[in-house]
Amino acid sequence: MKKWLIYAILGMVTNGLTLFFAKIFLSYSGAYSLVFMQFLGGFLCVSAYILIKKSWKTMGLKEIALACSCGAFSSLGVTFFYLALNETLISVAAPIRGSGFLIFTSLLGVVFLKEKITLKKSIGLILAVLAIIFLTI
Amino acid sequence: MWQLYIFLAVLFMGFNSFIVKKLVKNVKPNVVMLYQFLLAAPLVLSYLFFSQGEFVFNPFLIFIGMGYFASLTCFYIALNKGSLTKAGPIWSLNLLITAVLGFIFLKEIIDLKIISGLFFGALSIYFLREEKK
Repeated sequence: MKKWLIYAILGMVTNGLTLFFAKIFLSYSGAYSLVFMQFLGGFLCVSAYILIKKSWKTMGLKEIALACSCGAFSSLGVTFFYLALNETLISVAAPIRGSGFLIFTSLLGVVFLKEKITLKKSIGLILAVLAIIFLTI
Repeated sequence: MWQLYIFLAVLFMGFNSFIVKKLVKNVKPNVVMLYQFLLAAPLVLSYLFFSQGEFVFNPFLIFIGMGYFASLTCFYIALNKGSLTKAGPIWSLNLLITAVLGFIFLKEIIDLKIISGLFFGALSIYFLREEKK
C-alpha cells in the first residue's frame, strides 16, 4: 500500500473520531469554546512535536502568510461546521460536509493544480452530488 | 441556517486544503500547522468575543485538539505524497465513521435516505480515489 494512502486513511479515521467526540462535547460547551480548545490542543501538540523532533524550518514571508491564511480558513471552516452541528444531526452534517469538501477540493485541484480528471473521477463526483441530495431531502 | 453554515465550512476548508497542498511541497507539514494553529486560536477567540458567546473551559477538550492534530498531520503528509484529488476524497471518508459512531453511541436515527446517501458517498469516494492506470 502506498504511503500517501496509509496516511490518508489514518487521517480519515482520526478525523472521524475527533468529530464524534466534538459532537458529544458540543452539548457541554459552545461551538466557539470547542473550536478554540481544539486549536489550542493542536498548537500544543504540534509545538511539542516540533521541539522533540527538532524539525523547525524557517519560511519566507510569503509562505508564512499562506500558512497563516490556512489558520484563518480552517478556523472559519471548523467554526461554521460546529455551528451547523449545533442545529442538526451529526449523521446529516458530517456527510454533507465530507461530500462538499470532496467536490470542492477536487475542483480546486483540477482547475488550479492541473490534476487530471478521469471518467472514474467524474462518476465519483456525480455520486457525491447524489449523496448530498439523499442526505438533505 | 445550518445549510449555510455547512456551505461556508466546505468553502473555507477547501481553500485551506488547496493552500496546504501548495505549501507542503517545500515546507514540512507540521511547520505549516504550527502557523495555522498560531493564528487560528486567537481568531476563534475573537469570533467568540464578537458573538458575545460564553467561553466554557474544559481541559478534556484538549483531547479534541490532539485528535485534530493527528488527523491533520496524516492528511498533510498524504497531501505531500499524493495529489489533492486523491488524498482529499479519502480523508473525506471520515463522514462514514462519524455517522456510524453517531448511530451506535448517540442513538441518532438513520433512515433509508441517509443510508442511501452514505452509500453514494462511499461509492463516490471509491471512484474518486482510483488511480489512473
